[in-house]
This record gives sequence, C-alpha cells and structure tokens, in this order.
Amino acid sequence: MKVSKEIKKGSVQLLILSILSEGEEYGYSLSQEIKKRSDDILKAGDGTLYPTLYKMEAEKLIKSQWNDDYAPRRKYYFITKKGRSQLKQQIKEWKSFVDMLQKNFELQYTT
Amino acid sequence: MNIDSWLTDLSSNLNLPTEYIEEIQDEYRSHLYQEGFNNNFDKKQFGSIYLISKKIMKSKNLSLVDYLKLASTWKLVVVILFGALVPLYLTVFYTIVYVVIYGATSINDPQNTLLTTSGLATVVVTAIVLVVIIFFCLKFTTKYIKKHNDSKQIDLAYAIGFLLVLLYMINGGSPSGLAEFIYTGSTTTLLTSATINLVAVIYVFVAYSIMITMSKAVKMKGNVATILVKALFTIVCVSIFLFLKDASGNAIATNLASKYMPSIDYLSKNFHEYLDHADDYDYRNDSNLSQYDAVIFHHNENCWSIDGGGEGCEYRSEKAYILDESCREWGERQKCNVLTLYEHQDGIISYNLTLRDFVSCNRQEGTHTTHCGIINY
Repeated sequence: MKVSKEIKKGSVQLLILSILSEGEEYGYSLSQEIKKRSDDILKAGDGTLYPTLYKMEAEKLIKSQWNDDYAPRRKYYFITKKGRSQLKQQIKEWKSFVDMLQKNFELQYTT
Repeated sequence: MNIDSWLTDLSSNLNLPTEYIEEIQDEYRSHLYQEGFNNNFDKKQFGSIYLISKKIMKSKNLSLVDYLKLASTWKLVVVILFGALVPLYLTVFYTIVYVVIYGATSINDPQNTLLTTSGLATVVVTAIVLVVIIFFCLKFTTKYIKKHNDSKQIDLAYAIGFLLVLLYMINGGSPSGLAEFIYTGSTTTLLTSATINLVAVIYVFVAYSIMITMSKAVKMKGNVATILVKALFTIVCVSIFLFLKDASGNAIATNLASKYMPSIDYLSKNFHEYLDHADDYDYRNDSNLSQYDAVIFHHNENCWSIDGGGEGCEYRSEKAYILDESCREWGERQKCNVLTLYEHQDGIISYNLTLRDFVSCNRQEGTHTTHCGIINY
C-alpha cells in the first residue's frame, strides 16, 4: 500500500519515539524495526532516516552514544525525558485526529 | 554497491565541519555494511545522495562556532569583502596605470590627471574593470548561495564582512586607510593595528553571539539583528563608493610618494618656520632638511598653481618644492615631481603631489643660488 509523503512525515518521528521508548536502538536496527512495525509501509528511505534522527537529537527528543565494540562502530539512540512527553502528546494528537477522520468517514458512508 | 565511493560522494555534498562529516560517514558505513548481508537490499530505496545530503544539512543545528569552522563561510566573507573593497582595487589599478602607461615612477596627482584626456580614458577603463569585477562577484556569490542555501551562513558572512570593512575604515580613519597602511605602515603601526583589530574582532564576535542569543530568546520575528547588520553593511558600502575618488587619490599619491613621506611629515610640522624664510634661502644646506631624501629647493608664496595668480588664492599660504634633483639644474626640464604644501584657512596643513610638465631654473651668480619656476603653457 502506498502512503503519501505528508502522512509519512509525521508518523516516522512518532514511530521512532515509540520504538526508542522500549529501549535503545542503533540506526540499522531502527530502520528494520520501522519496516516491521509499519508492515513495510514506512520503509521511507533508510538513507533519509538519519537526518530525521539528527533533527530529533537537535530538538533534544533523543540522545546518542557511539559503541566501539562493533566494527564498524555503531551509534545507539536513546529517548529523553522530553522525547517521552512528546511521544505522549503526539499519541494523544494522533488519536483525536484519527477519531475525527473516522467520524467524518462514517458520516459520509451513512449519508 | 561500493560503500567507500558512496560515502565520499556523500561527504563532498555536505557543507559541515569535518568532525560532523566523519560521524555521519561512520553511521552510514555501519548501516551499509549491515545492508551488505541483506540480499533484498535495494540501492534505489536507500535514496539519492543529493536528497540525503540536503536533508542532513537541514537537520543539523549548527552553532556560531560551527559556521566559523566552515571554509565556505570564509570564502563567502572573501567574496563580500571583494565587493566591498572595490576602491582598493581601483587604487592598485590606478597605480599600475600611472606607473606602466604614463611612466610615473615616483609621484603623481590623480586629481589633476583626471582632468586630462588620458585621465578620462583611465576613468573609463577603470569603470569597465569595476563593472566586470562586480559582475563576477555577484555571479560567484549567487553560485555559493544556491549551492549551500543556508541563510544563517550568509548572514554571518555579511556580518563578518561588514565588521572587517568597518574596522579597516576605523583603523585608517578613511576608506583609503588600508592602502596607506599597506604601503607605508611601519612595523609598530602594523603590530598596534593588529592588536586593536584582534581585540575588536573578539569583542565583535562576542557581541554578535549575544545578539543572536538574545534574538532567539525574545523570539524576534524576521531576525531584527540580521536586518540591522545588513542595513549597516549597505550604508558602509555606499559611503565607500561615495568616497571612491578621494580614497583612490589619497592612496595612490601615498603609494607612489612613500619615499618622500618623511620629508612631507617634517615639512608639514615645520611649515611656518620655512614659510618665514626669504626667497633666497639655501635649503640644500639646511641641516634639518638635508637628512631627508627629498631635496627642498624652490618656494613661492604666491598661489602660482591656481591660474598662475596670487589673487583669489583659496589657501592662506602655499609653498612648492621641486623634488627631483635633475629638475633643479639650470634650464628647462620636463616631468618634474613637485610637492606643494598648503595652509588652509582653518590652519590645517595638507599636501599635493604633482607631476609638472615643465620646470625652469636659473642660477644667480651673485648669491650662488638657483631659482626655479613652473612654466604654464
């Protein structure tokens, strides 16, 4: 199924926060997890996942740390306190947004 | 997929400090290395380098220090200074023209020369060169802005450019200050100026950082600080262009006359003492003057250089000195350098360096002195 860019844009960040709220991840594993959880709908550029992570890090929603135990070394990402409250807020917003859409579609179908 | 060549391509598209690029490369290397084990990996799905680099650039929140580390910021500063310091190139250009085309090897007066046909030709050629320089400056700047598309970096470059132009103006007291400084500045002046500049630059960077931080703190719309800096920069550039002629004139004269500067300084300081001397004073035997390179010989209290008459003189007094030794010999001589000192109505002393076409000298047997005059054809 194809999903428009606009919808993907907001949901990737939400999904990243959701995955990281369960534990630390590094870039590649995060990209695989996003694909898995979104049933491959959100395979939106593995290459462009990193700019999203950098942006979230600049906004202090997540933190990162290099792990040199691997070759090549890996950068692990963690959710911050600010990220957790943002996740809660975004889930709330999404829920009410989806509710609003559902109501409208139900109305359309019934009329 | 060749990981290394892909990473090289990516980093060449990134306009970021080296340490960021290295981290980004490591992260992508780690990802691509693991994708190497994935048989279903689709290179196309990974995204284009251009798109990825654009997104990375947009996502990085660069600090002021990061921008200062970027070579592209300083390239932009150079481009901006290149445009702002156009009077300086004119000075150099004029000097070359005078030396190469007109054969002036020591002194000339650009203000007088501008009135001649050859002077007019010089101005036309200079104007063409100026247009070409400005055209290339604009083309280069536009190319940079298009490539990096980072308004913060451009604003910062403008701010630094503006401050450097301002500092050099303050240093010399006029837009020609830097040119004078380059050609005649002593080591002490250089060190003093460098120290002042360094302190001023540090102060200005700190002030700029505070300005940016404050503007962020109060969430100013449209970034008032940036607009202010740009407005001031424009005013400075316009004022430089307005002073263009004087700036070039002073700098060229100083440039060409640098070897006479000690004499000019000495004469200016002792103007009144020499003004009081009689016409037949033997300046060559003056112990105070003989230590200087310029030989002072002729003087005339009349304002002979202004339409050949003393009446209607715009100066309180004026003294002229023939500087070339060969021009002080008996007979008529061509292309002689003449230094004229003026005392203005307000008491200020100024000088003018002129390449005179004809000078005539006569030796007076009785007094063993030589009297010279300017011949106005």
